[in-house]
Formats: sequence, C-alpha cells, structure tokens
Amino acid sequence: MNPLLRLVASNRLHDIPGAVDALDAAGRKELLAELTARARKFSEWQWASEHRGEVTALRLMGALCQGGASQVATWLQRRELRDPGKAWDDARVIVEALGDRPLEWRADLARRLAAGLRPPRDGNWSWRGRDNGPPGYALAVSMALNSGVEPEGDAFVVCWAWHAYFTGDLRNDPIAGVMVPRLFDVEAAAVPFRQVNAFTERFVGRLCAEVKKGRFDRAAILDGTIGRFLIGGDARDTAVFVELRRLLDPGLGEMPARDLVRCLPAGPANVADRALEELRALDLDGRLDAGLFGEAAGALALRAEKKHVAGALKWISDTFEVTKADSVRAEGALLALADVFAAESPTTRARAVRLAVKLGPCGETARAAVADAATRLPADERAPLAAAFGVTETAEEEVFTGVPLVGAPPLAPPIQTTPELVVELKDVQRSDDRDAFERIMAAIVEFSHHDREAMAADLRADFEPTAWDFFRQISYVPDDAGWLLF
Amino acid sequence: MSVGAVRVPAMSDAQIAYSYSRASELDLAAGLLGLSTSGGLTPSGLVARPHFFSGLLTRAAPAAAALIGLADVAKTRYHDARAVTFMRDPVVTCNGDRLRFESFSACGGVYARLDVLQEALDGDVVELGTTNVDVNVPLRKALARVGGDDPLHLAVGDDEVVATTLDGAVVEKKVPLPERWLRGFAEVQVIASRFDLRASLGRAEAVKFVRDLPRRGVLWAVPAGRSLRLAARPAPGAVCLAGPERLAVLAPLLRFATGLRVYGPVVEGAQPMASAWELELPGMRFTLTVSPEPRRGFSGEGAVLDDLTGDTVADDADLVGALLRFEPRLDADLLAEQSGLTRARVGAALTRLGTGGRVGYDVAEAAHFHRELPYDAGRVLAMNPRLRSALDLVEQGAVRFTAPGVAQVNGKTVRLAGKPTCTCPWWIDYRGSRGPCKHVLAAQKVSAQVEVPA
Repeated sequence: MNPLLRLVASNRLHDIPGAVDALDAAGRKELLAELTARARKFSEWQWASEHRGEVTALRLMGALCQGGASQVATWLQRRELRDPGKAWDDARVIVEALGDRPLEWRADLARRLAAGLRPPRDGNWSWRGRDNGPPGYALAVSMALNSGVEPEGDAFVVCWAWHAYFTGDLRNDPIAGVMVPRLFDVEAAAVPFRQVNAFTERFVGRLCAEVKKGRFDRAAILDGTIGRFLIGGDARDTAVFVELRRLLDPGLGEMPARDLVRCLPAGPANVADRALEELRALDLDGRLDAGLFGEAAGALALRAEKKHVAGALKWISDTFEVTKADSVRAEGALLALADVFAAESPTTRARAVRLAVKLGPCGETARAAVADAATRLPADERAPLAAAFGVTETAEEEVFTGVPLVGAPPLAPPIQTTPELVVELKDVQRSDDRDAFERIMAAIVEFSHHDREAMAADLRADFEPTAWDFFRQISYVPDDAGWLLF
Repeated sequence: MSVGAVRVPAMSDAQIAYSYSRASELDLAAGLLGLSTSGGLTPSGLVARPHFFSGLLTRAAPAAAALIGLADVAKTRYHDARAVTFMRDPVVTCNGDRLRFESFSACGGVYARLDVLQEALDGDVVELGTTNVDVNVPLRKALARVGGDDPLHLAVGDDEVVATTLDGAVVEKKVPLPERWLRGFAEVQVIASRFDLRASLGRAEAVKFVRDLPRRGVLWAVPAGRSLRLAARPAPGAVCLAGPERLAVLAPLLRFATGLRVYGPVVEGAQPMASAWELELPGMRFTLTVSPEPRRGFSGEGAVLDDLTGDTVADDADLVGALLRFEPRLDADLLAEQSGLTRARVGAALTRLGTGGRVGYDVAEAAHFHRELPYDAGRVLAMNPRLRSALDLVEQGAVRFTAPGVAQVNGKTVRLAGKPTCTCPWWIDYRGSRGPCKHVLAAQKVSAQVEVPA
C-alpha cells in the first residue's frame, strides 16, 4: 500500500497537496492507479458506508495527481466519488488546492464540470443533505465562480433550480442574477417546482421580493413568464410561472395582448386561465384589438377543457353590446360560437345558439360557418338559427350504427406441444389470466386423450416435486392437485 | 466536394453532434424564417449545410403551429413525466414539390411528420436532399407568436452569402442517440406501409373527436356515421388508439384543420396496434403515427426482421437504392422496370431500404418517398439484437432440423410451416405480434441456406 494512501484513510486534507507535489510523474501515475483501485471499492455498499469520510480526500488526491482538465473532470465526476458528504466543504478544499493552476485551465475545468452534471429527475438526492445541491453541483458552481466562467448547459440550470428550491436563498446566491433569466428558457428547470408546497411558495415569494428590490428587471421577468407560457408543456411545469406572474400582478401596460392570445391554443390549462384573465382585463379597458378578441374566443372554443369553452361564452355574453356593435368582433365571436355547437353538453350548445341568434349574421364567412355547424345540431336546437343564418339543408340522417354485442375476447391459439404447455404452466403461476387456465386445461385434456403417458412423463421431468410444492404454495393453482391426474 | 471535407453530423454509439453555421431564427417584424441545416445528403453527395428552399410560406400560421408540434413530439417521453433536457432536431427532406419535416419522440413511440405541399410554397427549390434543422427555444417562442394570414419568407438552409462568409460551425449540439431510438425511427416507416385508410372526418367531426378524447387507456376508434366512436374492444375496420393523450399535440392545430384521416392495419385479435392520424391543414398535412402502447416504442416491433434475413433482398435494395433521386413518390412499377426486378422484389427492397432510413412511407399517398436519414441507420440496423442473436445461433450450429419444417433450436421447437411458431417463452408471450423470435429467425436462415443450393 502506498504510504500516501494513509493520508486518505486518516482524512488529512491539508497534508495532501504537499505530499502529491513531492512526487514525480511516475510516482503520481503509480499513486493514481492505487487511488482508482480504492475508488472502485466504493461501488460496494458496505465499503462505501464505512469509508464515506474519505471521499473528499480521495477526490482531492486524484485531482492533484492529474494534469489535464479533462482528466481531472473525469476523476471528479466518477460515479463512486461525485457525491461527497459535505459538498460545499469538499468544493472549497478542491478549488483551493487547484488554485495555482492557470486561469484558462481552471476555466476549462469549470466548463467541463458544468457540462458533466446530470440533472436529477427528482429530489431523491436530497436525503443526504438538501444544502449540498445535486451531486457535482457545489464543485461546478464553486469552480465557475473561481474562474469567472458563466456555466453553460441546461443541466446546470436544472441543478441550480433544485438548489434554489431547497435553500430558497436568492439574496445570497452569487449566480442568481445569471440563472433566474435562464430559468424561463429551460423546460426541465421547472421540475423542482412541480409540487406547489412550502418550498415552491418560498422560492416564488423571495423572487418577487428581489424583483421589488430592483435586483431583477421586472419587465424582463414578466417577459420571461410570457415566453415560458408560449413554450407550453405540462401544466405542472408552468404552475410556478403562473404563480409568479400572479404575485407580480402586472398592470395593463405590462400585458402583451398579442402574446397572451397566442398562449391560448397550445398552453396548458393554468396558462390559459391566466391569459384569459389578463385578456379580459385588457378588453374591459378597451385595449384589446377586435381581431385579437375573435382569435382568443376561437382558441378558447376549441380547447378541451369545458371551463374554457364556458369562459369564451361568458366573455362574449358579458361584452355583448360592444361585440354586436363591432362587425370584426361579431364575426370572430360567431366563428367561435360555431365551434361550440359541437360541444357535448346540451346546455353549452343552447347557450351558444342563443348568443349566435342574438348576434345575428355578420359577414358571409361567419354566416356560412354558423349555418354549416348548425346542420349538425339536433333539429330543435337548430330551429332558432334557421331563418337568420339560412340553415336550409339539414344534415343527412346519420346511419344508425348499433353497438355490437359484447362478447368474450378471442382466445389465443391452442397449445400444440408439451414444451409449450410446460412454459404456460410456469407462466400461469404468476398471473390471474383465466383464459390461460382455460387453454391449459384444454391442452391437458387434448394431450391426455392422445398420449397421456408421454405428457405425464414430460411434465414430471419439468416439474420437480419441490418446485411443484413451491408453485402450489404461491399460485392460484387449486390446492388439490389431483386435477392434473398424475 | 469530397465527403471527407464536409461537416456532417458526427455519430457515435452514444450521441450525435449537430453542427450549424448559425441558430435558426424567426424575425417576426421582417417576416423571415431561416432554418439552419446541418450536414446532409443531396444528389451531389454529402453537403455540410445544404440549401434546399428559398421563397414564401403562404400559410405561415398553420406551418408555425405544426413545427411547434414537431418539436413537442421530439422532446417528449410519453410514458415518463420527467422533463427531457435535450431534443433531437427534426429531419427535413426536400422532395422538389414539397418539404417534409420529421421528428421522433424521445420515448420512441410517436413519429410526427409535417408535409408542406406545393400549395403552401411559393419559391425556388435550390437543392434536393435530407438533413437536420436547428430548432431552439427562441425559435419556438417566435413560432408561437405567429398568427394571422400573412405569409413568411422561408429559407431552409444557408444561402450562398452566409455559407461563404461564415467559417465553421457556430452552433453545436450534442444529444444522446440510442440505437433503440434510431431503429424505431427507421422501423416506423415499414410498419406504416401496412396501414390502410380507415376513416376520413370533416373539420367539425375532427374537432369534436380530438377535443373530446379521454386521456388514458387503450381504445378502438370505430367508424360510426360521419365520425368515429370509441370502443373498448376491437371491431372490423377499427383503428387502435393506445394512449390517446399522445394525440394532444393535434389540439393546437385544430383551428387550422380541414379534416382528419385515420390509418391502421387490419385488426387481428385483441392486441393493441399502431395507427396513424393525419390532420389536413391548408396546403399541408400533419401526421402522427403512434405505437401500440405508450410504454412500447417502435424499435421492438420486429417488423423488419423478415426482410433482413433474406439473401437476395440486400442486393435488390442496393440496386433499387441506386435509382433513387429524392422523388416525392416512388413508383414501384417504374422501379421494377428500371431495375429489372419483379414487383414483389422491389417491394421487399423498399422495405429493406426503409429499415435503413433511406425511404419513408407516406400513408396519405400510399407510397414510399426517398429520403436519407442523416444518421447511420444502416449500421445500427445491422446490429439488431434479435437478428444478432439469431446469427449467433446459426454460427454455433444450434439449429437442427428433425423433420421437414420442424427444427430444434437450442432446445426449442420451431415449426416453419405456415405462420412460424416456437416453444420459447418469448414467442409464447407475444405469439408473433412483435415479429419472429431469434429461434425462428435462425431456423429460417438455415432453411434458406439449405434450400438455395438445392
């Protein structure tokens, strides 16, 4: 055993740089081989739990033994070593020890450490220490700060988001100024905030506080939320941005009408809710273009959520006088109403028909769309529209298609050979597939009829008595095995 | 231009590196959409940054919404809610009269294609070929802002000025490229070539059907009147829809839709099946092909294995492949005449080319089209794990014929007569629904070798 390894075993971090410096190239190579062998032992759970305290010393010594930034990054990102117990202390020691390397070298290492981060899929990493940040994050950010490099890559943003989620400390975070704007462009960075809990609320609250203090540009943050809405995605991923925008409470001058309308067709439900609220506020103040009103109503009418379809109807109803007076608005509203005629709910359809009748035909395109959609309505719902919109032709009567009688699903083909029967018998132990039992029974009857002795011999060979007892204990096979006839 | 001098996507087993001279951009004020291209194949060979098209995109809003849909598919794992931190860039093919944009989901279970047809294009085709196009976050945000009826100026690929002034790549992206994903991207074409049109819905019915889809389960869409009825069990003429949430990407396109066409294979048994859903848009088509189950990608379907084991198919494929010139629609009869092969052999050769990523299949036209995936799909295909295992069995001499059409392969009994069967647990689990098992493949290989000399 190399005597320097004792420094690792006794965790004498301060003595390691000097000891490694005293070695020549061959000595370092030899030491590195021993360090690698020791690091491999950490893949064993028992060893890892007993020697966890050595990880920082091992990382430090291995990093100092190597010359290239690429080699050092690879060493520090080894699976066995990338998650030291006290990540920030570990980062401080390593950054300090590598401090005499050239700035360009350290910058290169910082970039490699940031690029090599693996974004965690959940918060499981935090059981060892929430303040540590995801594995590798503490060293990556410390090295970036030391070398003045701005870390790149989505993985770094995701790791920063996890760290900010658990610490909630934006005021003392030296890279928050760079990372907050990037939070809006990296979809995976929303993963920590999927659950609306105390951590998420604290983060959003503190971000708002920093915006109010002027550390972050309010307009840029508001623009970031709109940009994130336009990217779309899962409602859980946009929830934190919706909440942020709600807390920032934008004024009418801070609501971009066109972008809000464009969020409606593809945005998740919570984004559509927020956009609708702001658009209605703009409309109430007379700041919404008539064309955009029609586009928004049309987008809401085509959404899958019933509340948004109802929201479109309510909007048209609440602004009825203004809408009727403006031909562009009225045409947009009629086109949206025509799409609502296909709604499942008779109440929703009836409401849409009533609004269309009150608005009356306005523009040939809208009239034709309403007339066409009306042909699919039941006769009694269609009647009020007939005169005003010229619904002359009724839809061709739908051919009655009876619901087919429910029958049992077809069985798989019968078992043809004894080996197949053996496999099926083994498979059936772990399933409750009644069809499989039927097929096995059929096969046993069939094979017994043709050559009972051969089948029994085959089955006996495959099912040793001990195994059969085991199967009988854990399976659905009836306790009385006499049904197998052997 | 020599092949070695150009910069094409570098592919290793684990990842691919895209290289663009600049990021794709959309300047809304000027109405300019510039899509940057990475290395790709054209009739003149490999080109670092091919320039396919310059002109007007007459229906900008639906095209922008459809491009966002493609990007959404590319970055999604449908069976797994965890966010994906990378996106494999869409593939663009210029077939002369149309541009085709393709993407494949991160989970390998959904294939999306946007065909921008001649009616929506007004400009010059500079070159034919296939490559990747850069899609980035600022572009996605800008595309979402496109609305109204105004056209956009579209450039696919750098024009000559940019190409000669910019030296080297300024945008490089490395993303994982698993073999399984690549095999699925290629195999989905072969699977789709067995689909037929099952239903055609008008706009109103399409809107209602897509809008009211449930979110989970395995459903069967049965034609009923002018629309489709969802059932829990298959029926003749039905189309399987497993994981209806995977069609959610069609919802934002409904405002532009003029109809929906549904394609699927002939229903056999009650097992879930793949299907294709084509939304008709003004001057374009957006097609989604979904796998039989959300957790099941296209790569394990084994649809290609029959064609890979044949001895003459590889040669036929080479012969037919040499005749391809990025045609939008491949005429099998014409290819048969040009190659001197029979119609059936041309069909098998096209299937083989499809598995190598060299042809795609357009369900709307029921025809193959030429495109060369900018990945080394052929190499990956050659390493198909099931085929590799089968060849290992053949090499080990594990195949022993005990009677005509009956073989013992590694202790399993394979019957080749009619539809091949095997007694291995894998075959019993899937019963041929995912292609032949390694024992059947090995037996077929040996059987062919024995029969050919005779």
